[in-house]
Amino acid sequence: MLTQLECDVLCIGAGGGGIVAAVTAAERGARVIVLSKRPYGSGNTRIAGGLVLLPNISPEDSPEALMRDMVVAGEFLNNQALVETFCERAPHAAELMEQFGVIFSRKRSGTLAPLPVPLAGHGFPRTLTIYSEGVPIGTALRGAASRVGVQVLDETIAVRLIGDGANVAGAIALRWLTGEMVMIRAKQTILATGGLGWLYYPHTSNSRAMTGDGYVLALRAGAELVDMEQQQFIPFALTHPEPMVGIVCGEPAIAGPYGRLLDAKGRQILTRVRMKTRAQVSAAMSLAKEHGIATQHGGMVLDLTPNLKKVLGTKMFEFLKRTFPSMIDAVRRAYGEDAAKGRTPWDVFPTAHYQMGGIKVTPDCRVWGVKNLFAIGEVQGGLHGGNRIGSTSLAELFVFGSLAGNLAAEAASRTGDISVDISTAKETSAHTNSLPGKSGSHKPIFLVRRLQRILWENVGPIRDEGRLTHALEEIQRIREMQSDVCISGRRECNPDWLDAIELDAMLLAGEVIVRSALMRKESRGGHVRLDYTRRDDKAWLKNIVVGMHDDTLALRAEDVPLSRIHLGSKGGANPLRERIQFLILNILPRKAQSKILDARLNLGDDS
Amino acid sequence: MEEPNIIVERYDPALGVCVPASYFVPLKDGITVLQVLLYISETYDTTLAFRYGCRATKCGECAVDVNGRPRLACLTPAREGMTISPLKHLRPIRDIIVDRAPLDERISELRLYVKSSGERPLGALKVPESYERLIGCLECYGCVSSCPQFDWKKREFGGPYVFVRLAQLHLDPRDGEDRRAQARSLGIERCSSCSQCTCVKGIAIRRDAIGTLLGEGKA
Ligand SMILES: Cc1cc2nc3c(=O)[nH]c(=O)nc-3n(C[C@H](O)[C@H](O)[C@H](O)COP(=O)(O)OP(=O)(O)OC[C@H]3O[C@@H](n4cnc5c(N)ncnc54)[C@H](O)[C@@H]3O)c2cc1C
Repeated sequence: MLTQLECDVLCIGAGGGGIVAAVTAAERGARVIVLSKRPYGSGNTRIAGGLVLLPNISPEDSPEALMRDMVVAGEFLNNQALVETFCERAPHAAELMEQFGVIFSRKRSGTLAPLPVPLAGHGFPRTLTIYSEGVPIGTALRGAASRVGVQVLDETIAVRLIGDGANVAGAIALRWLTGEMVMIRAKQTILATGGLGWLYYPHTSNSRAMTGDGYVLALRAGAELVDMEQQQFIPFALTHPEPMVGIVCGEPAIAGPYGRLLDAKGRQILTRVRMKTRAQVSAAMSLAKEHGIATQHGGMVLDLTPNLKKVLGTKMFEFLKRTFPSMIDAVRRAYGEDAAKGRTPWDVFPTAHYQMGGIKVTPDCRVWGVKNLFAIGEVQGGLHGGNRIGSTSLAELFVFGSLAGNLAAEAASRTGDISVDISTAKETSAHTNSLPGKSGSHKPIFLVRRLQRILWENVGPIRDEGRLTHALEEIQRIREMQSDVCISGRRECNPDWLDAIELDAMLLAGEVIVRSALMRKESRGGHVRLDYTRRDDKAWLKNIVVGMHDDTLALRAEDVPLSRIHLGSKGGANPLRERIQFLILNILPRKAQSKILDARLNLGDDS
Repeated sequence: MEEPNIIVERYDPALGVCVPASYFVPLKDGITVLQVLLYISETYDTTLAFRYGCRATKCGECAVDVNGRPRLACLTPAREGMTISPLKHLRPIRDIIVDRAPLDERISELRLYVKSSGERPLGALKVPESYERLIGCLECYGCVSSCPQFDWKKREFGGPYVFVRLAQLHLDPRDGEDRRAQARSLGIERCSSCSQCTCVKGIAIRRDAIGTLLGEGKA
């Protein structure tokens, strides 16, 4: 049986992007339905570090400076029109978050306590933190959804967008707890399904829901994906024990002023780690593993002990521990108390963290080439180019969530009847519905695990032609096995059924990543190729765009319009200024150093 | 085959009861309850239904009972002979999955969101320390399993999850509703002589949430 529902605005995904859009649209009077594959309010938003962008804390900062930092760190692949919209609206993101119910960390005096130092890639301090990191964002989102009376279909998986030609008009979904299929007709649809880190399990910091569904839903509806080869591998994640592999324990800033990054033989891989972008550090570590010597756990060595010999280092580490409590906690559980105190080195390797590439959109989040469809949050492509700088994503959810929510509500009020090609919709639904009880030779979970291994080994932090070609062949092989899967017959809470649906999305998303990575014959951002180790601005200042026609992927390279920020622009940290500050500080007596740092890092204040 | 060393109480909706199933899982060093569940599902039975999300103690999806106490599966070391079962006092759906909806619904019914009187966001705000301790609630619903009074069918009693949320709001300097009165109308006095509730993340529910709402101590 196919249950039918109808609404003005359908939000697919219930993390930050989806719920902000839903609440905004509902406040404008739209009837809204939200689909959430996992319990709603969960997802990557809830497990985030809770670092949120607040530009212009420093008087020298400006929207232009932020834009420069994002584009320079993104190695010029960013969609600059989108970045511009973001930078103009970014100052309001944190305000909106507090209106949703979050409280940012305050000093004892009651005023905001932003981080006094820039995160990697930022030229200025621009970050607020939240008590208990991302968790309260999830709580606030659930509260806001209840406040405005958004209808949430929990544990409900969108399997296909429906519509008529290039018009999208809702989705077909499976209610996993009951095994019921639903068709939701919607005047406007917003995709907010998050990223795809789970394609690299266990080498990922992401939540289990991130199987790339949104990219595939969009592609199959006629949308295009841009720069899908650009994954952010965050440099520092745990390498053991087994349950903790891939769990993030820091971004470059955690190295502190004197931390050293070494291979297993004790050779330094990279200097001044803290000043480098996430992409640069991860690339250096992956190359070192390729050429040099990894530890027995396949990692590199992050040695924080030199920090503890100096006042500045000690204070910075104290400060970082307070800023990233859950990461330090993970280190404690994996490597023990001494490691958590920075007294023994950490065994670390990059882990899949964020998908920069994604659905191609206009600056107002409308999906290119498809009508009545928006994409926001991590599933959207172009904002971060080849590398995302910290704290921008949570802000992005509120910036674009509210923008798209408003536009969708307004568009819905002007949209007349919804036209849906019912026979195609019913066919898709019937196909998904027929999966339980299918007999065959392979349990879907084993194909999922095989695919994840192939992707990590061949299109992970290090790539080359040989590996990528191998990955494509393997994907083909797994596809053949996919037609021979066996799925238990139960309807309610059937993990095989969910695995089979996710496998289908993961195969296509994986193929898009591999084909895009094959096409980009250079190293840039999160994409590191052993056979083309340099960035090649002459040939590859291009976006790789993927579309699908008659079930076949079509790729092309498009010039990136450098409308505002031009090649050669500088952004990010100013190493010279920092060096001078360090030098001056080091001349002072230890006590004076301590005092200055306590004040600058708010350390005396337990805010 | 080795002797079984793990019991999973799997709820069967057709029978309406939990059926214990035993498995052998090699308990390597550092292995967690979540790893055990994944092992069972990928070695013996892929239809074992359980939830998990981030593996990193932050999403709250993997709350289950271990030897009768609520735990996060990803945070809890596995032990020989342990029993894993669905959270108590919620409606089991299948295996160790329980229905979250009755508690989700409380959020709108009881207006568990900030009813602000229009303060300027990002302005000065005095945040009590106990707020900082309570706001880490993952909404995993594990606490209700440890509460001898809670039953999802009985709406007149709030239970620990609702009380934690009410206390967060009471301590939120922006919230304008009388959350203590709400807690009283939801039977919080029943908690005054009881302190059996536990939190998988170590929140002191009795002291910081219930104590605050009852007006005990200086809070
Ligand atoms: C460990 C970690 C720490 C981070 N820390 C920070 C930080 O400190 N600051 C920062 O700015 N960024 C951070 N990020 C990045 C940021 O958290 C994410 O990019 C952002 O939260 C994504 O939000 P979203 O709304 O796009 O997706 P998510 O919050 O991931 O939500 C996606 C939603 O879509 C649903 N969904 C998926 N597929 C389907 C489907 N087929 N049908 C229905 N629903 C579906 C999911 O269930 C979920 O509800 C971090 C990320 C991670 C993983």
